[in-house]
Amino acid sequence: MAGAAGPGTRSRRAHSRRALGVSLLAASLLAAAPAIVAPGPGARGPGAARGADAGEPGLPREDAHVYAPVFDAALVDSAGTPRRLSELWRERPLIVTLIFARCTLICPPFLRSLERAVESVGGAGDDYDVVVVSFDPRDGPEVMAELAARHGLDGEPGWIFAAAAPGEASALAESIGYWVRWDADSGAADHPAMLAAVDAGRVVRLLVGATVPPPRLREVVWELRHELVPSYPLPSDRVLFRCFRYRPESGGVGLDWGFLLLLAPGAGMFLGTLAIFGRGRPRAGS
Amino acid sequence: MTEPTATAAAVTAATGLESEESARRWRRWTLIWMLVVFALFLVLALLGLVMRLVQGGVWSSLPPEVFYAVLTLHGLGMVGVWYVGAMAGVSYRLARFVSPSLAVNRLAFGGTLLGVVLLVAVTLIGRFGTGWYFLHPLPFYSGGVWPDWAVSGFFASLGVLGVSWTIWTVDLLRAIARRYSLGGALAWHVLRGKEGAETPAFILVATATLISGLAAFIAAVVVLALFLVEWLPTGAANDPLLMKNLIFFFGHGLVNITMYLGVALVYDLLPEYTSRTLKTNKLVAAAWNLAIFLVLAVYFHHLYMDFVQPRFLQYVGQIGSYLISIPAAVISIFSTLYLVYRARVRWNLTSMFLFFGVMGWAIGGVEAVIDSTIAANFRFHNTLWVPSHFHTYYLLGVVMMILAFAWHLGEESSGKPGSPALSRAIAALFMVGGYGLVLLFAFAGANSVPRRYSAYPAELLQGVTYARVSIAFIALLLAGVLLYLWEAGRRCVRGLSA
Repeated sequence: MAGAAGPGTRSRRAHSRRALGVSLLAASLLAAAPAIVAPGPGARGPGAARGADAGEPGLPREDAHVYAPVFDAALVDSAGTPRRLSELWRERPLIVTLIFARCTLICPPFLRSLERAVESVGGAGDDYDVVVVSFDPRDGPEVMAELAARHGLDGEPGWIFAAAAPGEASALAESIGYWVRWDADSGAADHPAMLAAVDAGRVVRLLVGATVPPPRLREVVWELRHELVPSYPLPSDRVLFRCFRYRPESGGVGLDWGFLLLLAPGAGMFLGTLAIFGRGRPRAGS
Repeated sequence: MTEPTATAAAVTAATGLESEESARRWRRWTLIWMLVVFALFLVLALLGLVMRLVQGGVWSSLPPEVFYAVLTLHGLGMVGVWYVGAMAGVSYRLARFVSPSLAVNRLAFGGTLLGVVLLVAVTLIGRFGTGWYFLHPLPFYSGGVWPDWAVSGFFASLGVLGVSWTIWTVDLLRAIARRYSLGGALAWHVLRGKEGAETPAFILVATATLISGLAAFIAAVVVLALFLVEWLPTGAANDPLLMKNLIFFFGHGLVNITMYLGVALVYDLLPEYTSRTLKTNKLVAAAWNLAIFLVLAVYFHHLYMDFVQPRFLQYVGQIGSYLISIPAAVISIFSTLYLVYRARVRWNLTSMFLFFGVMGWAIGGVEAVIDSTIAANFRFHNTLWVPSHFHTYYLLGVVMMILAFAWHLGEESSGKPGSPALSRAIAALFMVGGYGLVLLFAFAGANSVPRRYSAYPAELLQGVTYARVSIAFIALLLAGVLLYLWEAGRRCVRGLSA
């Protein structure tokens, strides 16, 4: 993958653009804009959201690329037919995953897990298509056809195995937060196992992990069918203040330190009023 | 009982308007404020029309990300514009009683312009489209729609506006404190049934409102600081529930105090057009003292849909919302009716807009009470019923009150009274167009049309019909707005050179 615009390049470009934008704003608002800051690598903002992009690659974050536009990659399917990804997503929503055929580590068990989950959830070929794209330039349509056959998925409705034109796979990977790092000695690639649910050219959901649990894939398919999937983000360990703390043993809710922040405006109002009127020297009135 | 005008005259000698030059400077700055408010109002109103054209399928080519950027600018812009409009009006009228700083007024003007420029840039150029409530963590998850500089710019805009407006609020309170004790300004002696110097109702309402404003701005400072900590490379994150509570503490508070500032203008201006005066009696004093506390608890009704919010706070939200309608709204409505009932009212556009503004506030308030009922809110919360509610009490409530003040100021400063026929035509266009607009929102909401949709799917095609019909009413309203702005604007411009 040498020479391709990888996540690191994207990260540096993004940081440069962000730094430039922020610097211009900061220069123009020097005294009056305390809110302007230059978020650096690892920030909690978008930079951090693309966690894998900053420095050493890590697992992509599932909440990072939601609604991001997906790169319209030029593909050649296992039958040798050239197709663009956009042609596929115009037909029906997609579940896109990236692998390479010679992988002896995560790709085979991941594909088997995905296959089982799709079989369990159903709807492939009707509600969505699964597109398996190789990021290895050496994998041509014949190799992908062989891979599909190896998994018993050749000709299976809703399954499309495809090779990507040079440079196309890396752009596709970048657009969904996927990364690949080739090891020159072994000729193998280090990469995460993940899939992206794509609707109308945008990421709807990302699932990261070596296995695809059917309940999680079911939620993805609901999303692709435009059905409501209720969810609420749980505060992580990095949360500064919580208003309330859920007590699982009792099912009740207790106050946490963050609740003081909800009292702060009221307290500040009273103290501020007392300070203002305490300092004022009324010249008239009661 | 003291007539406000008489009170003003009595204290003029001891206030910032003691010299003709001072009065002229205050009038000039307030006229500039009003002209800026007019310009922004027109632009933001046109953006509202754009959104209904998109929803009605008339302009379906507008991309959704642009629609949401426009939605953000329209919402945040309208909230901000009418807050500064109300503050400018109250500052001007307050200057007859006390001595606010004109320098702080100018600082607020500069800060507002800078904040608006930033806001326009981040929305129309940067396509920042979180909605005016910028709920956490949405600003950080643009999905490639808005760049990072737009997030920085948005928080910078809020920071500049927040700092300017907080200083402005503190300065007005400082000016009141120079003349009145806290008990005097809040009419505690009236509550205790003791004799004392008269507290004009305008001073009471303005003081109570500005004190509430402090709480809203402190909430804004806290929420901006928390956003900033998360935006910086600290690795820290925030609790979305805490952030939503704080955002609505600030957001609802800001809208609430804008309403009350508008009501302060009604208390001050309307008696000048009737043969009646408004006394700060025990009921009025109790109502506005109570409102200071209740404003702190009302915003919880914005979180009914958040199942992780503890139930007792949901009840606090419902009860607080019911209670706050009694002291502030009901008292003010009865006070207004008392002022005009069988009185020799000098009806012109100012008095008509003041009266209709209170009427809009009352109608919007009824919708608010329905919305704040948990059982009803579960059905209506995400429908166009809610935009109907806030457009009623905003557009047909406080906006009309502030426009009434601006008309009064334009006539006063130019010496040119408005044509009665034209005034009636403007009022009619506002009423027909405005109520048509909000009724179409209400009907659509009652018919399950969701809000915040840029385009309606096949299952919700009734939304397209409502949007198309509402365009006709918006056209009427815009005709009224244009007529008003032309008439009021040229008076204000003439007043600038007077």
